[in-house]
Amino acid sequence: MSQTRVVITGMGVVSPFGIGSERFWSALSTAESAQRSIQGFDATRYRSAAGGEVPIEVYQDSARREHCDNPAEDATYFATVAADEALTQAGLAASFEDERRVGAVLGTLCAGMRTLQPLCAACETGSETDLQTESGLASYQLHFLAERYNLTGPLSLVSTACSSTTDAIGYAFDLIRSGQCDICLAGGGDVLAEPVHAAFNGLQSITTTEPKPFDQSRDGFFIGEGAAILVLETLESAQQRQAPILAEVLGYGLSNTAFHLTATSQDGSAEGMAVQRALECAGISADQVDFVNCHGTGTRHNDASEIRAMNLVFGATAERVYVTSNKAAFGHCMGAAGALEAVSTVLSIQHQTVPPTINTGGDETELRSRLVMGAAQQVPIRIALSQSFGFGGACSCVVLARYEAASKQGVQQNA
Amino acid sequence: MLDVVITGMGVIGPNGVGLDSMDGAVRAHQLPFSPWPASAAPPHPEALIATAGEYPRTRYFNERQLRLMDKAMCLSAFAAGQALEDAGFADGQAPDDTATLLGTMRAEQPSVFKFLQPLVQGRPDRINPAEFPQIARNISCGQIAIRFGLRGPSSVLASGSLASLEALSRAADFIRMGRSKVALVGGLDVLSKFSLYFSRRLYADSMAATRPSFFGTEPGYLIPSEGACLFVLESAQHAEARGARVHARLAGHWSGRVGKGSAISALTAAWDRALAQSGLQASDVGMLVISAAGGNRPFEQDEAAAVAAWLQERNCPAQVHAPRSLVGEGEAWTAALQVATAAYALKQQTVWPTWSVANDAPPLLAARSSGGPLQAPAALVTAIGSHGVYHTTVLKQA
Repeated sequence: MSQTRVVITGMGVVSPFGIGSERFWSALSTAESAQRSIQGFDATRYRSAAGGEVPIEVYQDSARREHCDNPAEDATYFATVAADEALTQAGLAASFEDERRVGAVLGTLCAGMRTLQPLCAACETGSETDLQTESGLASYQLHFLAERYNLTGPLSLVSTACSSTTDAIGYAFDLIRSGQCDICLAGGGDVLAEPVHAAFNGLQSITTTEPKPFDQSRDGFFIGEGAAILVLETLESAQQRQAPILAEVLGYGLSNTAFHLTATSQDGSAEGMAVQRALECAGISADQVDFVNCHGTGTRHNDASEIRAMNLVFGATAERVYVTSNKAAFGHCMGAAGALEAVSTVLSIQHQTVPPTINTGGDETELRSRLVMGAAQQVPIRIALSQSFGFGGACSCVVLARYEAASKQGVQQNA
Repeated sequence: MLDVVITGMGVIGPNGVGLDSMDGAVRAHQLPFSPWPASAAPPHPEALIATAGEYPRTRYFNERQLRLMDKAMCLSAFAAGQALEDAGFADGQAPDDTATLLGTMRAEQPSVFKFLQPLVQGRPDRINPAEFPQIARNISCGQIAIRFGLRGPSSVLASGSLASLEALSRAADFIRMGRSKVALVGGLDVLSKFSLYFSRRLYADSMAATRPSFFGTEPGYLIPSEGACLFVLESAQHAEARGARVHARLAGHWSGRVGKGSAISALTAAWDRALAQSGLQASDVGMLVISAAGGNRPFEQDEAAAVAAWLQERNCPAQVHAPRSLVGEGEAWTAALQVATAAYALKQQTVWPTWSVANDAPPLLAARSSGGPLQAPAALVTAIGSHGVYHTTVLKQA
């Protein structure tokens, strides 16, 4: 495999905190919570009505929707807003020439659900609907962005449940490293869909209080929504363009727990495999990792597995690793969670600051790492992980690093 | 580029299990199509569909387990088991770190429809959390990983009708990059009342026609199809070390999207690029396995025009085959079948005919699509989907 260095030159975010990565970071670093009662549908009929919706002003901003070419589906709208911000930050054009071969790998879980629900009703009743059928496909956002920016490189969309967009970043990394394109958008959008909220309520995974990852009294998460897009490109391309280099992608890893369709493993070993593979891909050892942005859903089972995975991977050095969970702040954004958390991780690297895991006392006894709680903490971060686990046993982990002119081998030598 | 080989194939589709059954149907001139069910509001009285044929459902799961699985899980897990067996892995003996990758366009739709019924009927209290996991597109992949004990890199692509080809290329690259030694990869898509309803809307322009029409200019009917087609991939070295039989070699791939320029130029450039990457020339190509589905949609016409131009300009002896003429339009499952068809032809040294060729098809394509002996040792599998997304895979004889 080539050792082409892959860097991040642009990022864009739509989150329950609103539009923009600046707003996102400001909220995360000041311990804001986006948890509200859901307004988009009647959530009072479920065990918990907690959710993290994108602000109503964003939904109702018709000028912005029009500027985004009026996507027929909300996850795509969010992804378009995020992609615009990311491309602007990266200093890239709004539409590429054919020869540029810019690629995209997106990910999602629930996108299209708001189209499928009325389509299912129309199918059942025989009623007419003028909904755009294609917006019921997960791939709608991929093709929408491809046409908007005239992307002519490799295109794909990952759907590995809550692990989707971490995997998507990894896939984009591979496409660049293998020479299939020089620039690739990675990330994706997702929505807070009523059926998914209903089902997680049925599984008693939605908090009836507030999310408290790694706390012994934790009782689940609330679902969020939004999008994050990152611009990945070769270091050479970024330097030629004199683009801002926000961070470097060193590698990624995937695994399947092969354990249960919905539950994470008991001992964390298969989740740890994804992390270990990411470290191997990056050519670094576990003791070089400074910070882990955890999956951290705040469910009893998931947090336990994740802690065990980290203890397995980091061993004796687990105690020096800082960890946090963003989900307590902006919710579990399903397929978009990985990309949003990757953006947060890059911002942590840039600001050398770990945002706190809000609401938690962090008293889970097996947790050996340094959970940042209460307030953001200034921390020296050279190498960080962002990890995601999902239904179907899907596990993914991406390794991000502060950009340094020396290669990652240099990072190793200096660590 | 490091050769990755196909050592196992598992197919369950309208002709039943395996490619030999498909070969038998082709030789007997039997098309596996049946009437569109009246309960699913057919677009017209002559509408046909292609449902998966009989297979031994309890081969890998017992009845109790099967009751908890939807059709996508059943078909893909069966195809996975067949592919592993074909590769010579006894049940449970595939390496623990085998990668699992699937591609689908919308295999989740039947379960989404079932899961949403309580909401559609205004009874959200009746939503069944036990049915929830099946709306996740990667549940079939998870089921396969559990059943066969595979903890390698795992992913599911849902990028449209070419998703399985992307999965195949990604899996091959996993092996080339050292991410795994063995990969179980392929595609699936399934039919249901709702997926047929969705097809009617999505392919509205093709649903008024009464029969498929290949390489023509008038809209033809797309026969909705279902099935699963999986492969076992490994490095040539790994396969040789364990004495595995090789079906074909995956020599290279190239993908992208037609931009503002000519689709014909983009496609032919992609084929040249994939061949160059594979160390081959056009004269080495004995067959082009194409994605035409008989609808003559604009991108199908682009593909046909590109094939005709490329064959002529490169003086290529290849025959042309469209597997969808034999099994219908099954989106990601039939995209995977394109590769299986190519591998099968390279081994059997015979190319299947394309049926339902349009009267106004270009003479060169009509002449090259009648089937017969393979004239050169490589196959070029090409696919183009809506929005101009294309994918090319090059296979060489074992």
